[in-house]
Amino acid sequence: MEKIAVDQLPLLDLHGKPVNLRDHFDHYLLLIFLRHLA
Amino acid sequence: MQSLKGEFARRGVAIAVVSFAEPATLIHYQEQHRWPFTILADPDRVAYGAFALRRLSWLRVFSPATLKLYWKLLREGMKREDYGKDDIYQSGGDFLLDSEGNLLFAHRSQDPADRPPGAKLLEAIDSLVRAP
Repeated sequence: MEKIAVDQLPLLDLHGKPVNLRDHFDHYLLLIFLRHLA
Repeated sequence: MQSLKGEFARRGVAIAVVSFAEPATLIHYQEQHRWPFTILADPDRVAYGAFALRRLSWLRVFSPATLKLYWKLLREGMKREDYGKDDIYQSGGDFLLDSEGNLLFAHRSQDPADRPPGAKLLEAIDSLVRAP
């Protein structure tokens, strides 16, 4: 099974601060990547 | 999708939305739309790359399915909003991860109209996960 290092993805919150995705869920996470804003 | 948020929560599934737009753009977007999800920015598209989300070809972006979708949205009154720098060729996708980072489900959009409906995602989740 493919594994993703979720705690190493360089994501930012809306204020531009780095966030650890792992802090955003306990059990499962549905991660939706947008194409563009509309 | 917003109306199904409770169904995902009931299954122990949190939802986060990632955009390649800059955080400042996303703040403005969120002020207007108020999505009830965590919204994150990936302006350098490192996370997009980690999930193998590539840029689509011209033929896929302007496929008949895409044109049909946008025609439907226009007829329903959707207005095109300008959020600055954009990339219509970047593909999106939907992924389900467990707490270990295992990728349980992956849907990489093949064209802009290719997104699984929320109900389909719930079906997939029901077949993959046990509610906590």
